[in-house]
Amino acid sequence: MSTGHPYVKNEKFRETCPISLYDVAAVETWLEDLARRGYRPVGFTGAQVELLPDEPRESRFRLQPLQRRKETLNPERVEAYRVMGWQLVGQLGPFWVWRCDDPAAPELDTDPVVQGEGYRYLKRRMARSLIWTSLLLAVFVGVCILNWFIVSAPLLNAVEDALPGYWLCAVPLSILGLIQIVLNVRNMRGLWRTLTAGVPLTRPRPYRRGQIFGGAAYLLMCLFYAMCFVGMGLSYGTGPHFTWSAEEDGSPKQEVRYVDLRALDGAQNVEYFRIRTKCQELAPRMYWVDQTAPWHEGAERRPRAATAYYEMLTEGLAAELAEELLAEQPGFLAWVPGTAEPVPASALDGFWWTETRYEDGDTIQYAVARLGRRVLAVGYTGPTDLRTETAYLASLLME
Amino acid sequence: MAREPLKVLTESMFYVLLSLLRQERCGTEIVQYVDDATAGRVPLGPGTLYTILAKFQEEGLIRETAVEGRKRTYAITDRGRALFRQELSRLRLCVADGEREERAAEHLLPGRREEEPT
Repeated sequence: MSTGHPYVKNEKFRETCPISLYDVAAVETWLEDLARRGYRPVGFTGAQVELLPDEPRESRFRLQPLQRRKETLNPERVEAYRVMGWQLVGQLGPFWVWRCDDPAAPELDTDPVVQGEGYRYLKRRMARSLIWTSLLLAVFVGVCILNWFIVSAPLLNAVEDALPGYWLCAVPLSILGLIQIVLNVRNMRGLWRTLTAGVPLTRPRPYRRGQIFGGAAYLLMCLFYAMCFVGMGLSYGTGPHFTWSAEEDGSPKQEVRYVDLRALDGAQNVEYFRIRTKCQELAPRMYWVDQTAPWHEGAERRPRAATAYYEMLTEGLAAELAEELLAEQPGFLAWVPGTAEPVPASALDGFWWTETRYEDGDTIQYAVARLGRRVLAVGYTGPTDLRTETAYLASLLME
Repeated sequence: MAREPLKVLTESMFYVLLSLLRQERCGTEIVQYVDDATAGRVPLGPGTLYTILAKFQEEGLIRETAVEGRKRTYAITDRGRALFRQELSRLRLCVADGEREERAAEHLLPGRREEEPT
């Protein structure tokens, strides 16, 4: 028998219910459509339907809510249903699913008011679940807000640590989750009111929109969890989201923006030992470059410039990031001490600078520059005073 | 299910209680009885029947008297009989009210016709 399904070879397979279970009539219609297309639902695991290839047939599927948390059907009831043409398929979430292949058999629920009475437990369960979900959500939002204030550089952490796509998934997923909860509650209230008013459910009920919504939420959820899984255990600067952006000779690729010791000090034979790129929603372009030059005469340390460059999504985010970079150096520049102070620089929207002098006389300068939605942080050891190089820094930050 | 006492019975509920007035019955017998008694006018689907039975048991209107294999038999309780009588009185009043109004309407109808221009 050819069923036309791409995954079926006359074997049992599973399909996730694409609609909210609380849209009862839509789920029933979906199951009936499956049977019509030649897939017979034979059982359920969670929200997944086990299907067997079968002759296409007109079957009726009906969902009946559980009356308590762990309800077992007594055999007499199952037998009575069977005698009246209804066979138990299984339990789908908080519902028993019954199937009837006999068009002459009576409808499962013939009295909407009584049917509504059967939903009393589920309605209470949903109300409880809504309260708990709201509480959990409130706690989660509270923790996020608290975390934002406790962590010294939340935006910096967010752009440097999160995988590309993380926020693109997390935000819509949260919104979809909230919408789903609201829709579920609305569905249940609507169902309850309709039935208790004595109005039977309207069937068939279209489910295309619910299917698209559910599919999108499922996809986002899978992506999100995959990212969380991949992101676990990744330390700073490692993992698939950081790209090595060097040419064959070891120098940074042309598009990489960094403070170049050749331009700053006229140094030659510079060495690069960390060149990385990352793209992320909040910061579509980020570069990290660490560079050293040969020893200067009389200097205790080799000239070194470590640059972190961030092109943020908006100017507001760039300003926020600049503030964070002043409070805390990114992991990449953790070796640079001190807190920078603002220095007037006409070519930039903001310029902050500080210097730490070592006992041997050498200095380390740390500067943060912002122009529009681009920010640059640099830790520098060498003969040049960065305060005199704001035009050069501005050129690195220009469009 | 929350304990919310029944005040008014639906037609299906009424007939389930009615079916147990004279004798104990199991689920399928109740369906058969209601079908015969109403000549098929009141359909009683299995979902409706077992929701009613569960609700009635919870309310103490019926009780399970015997379990033989897959067969469970139910009997009406005193409380169930009282509710049935109460519902019957309500229905009688409804019928009486309806008949009175109908008679009055029939009485008025010719007069109205006379008043109408021909």
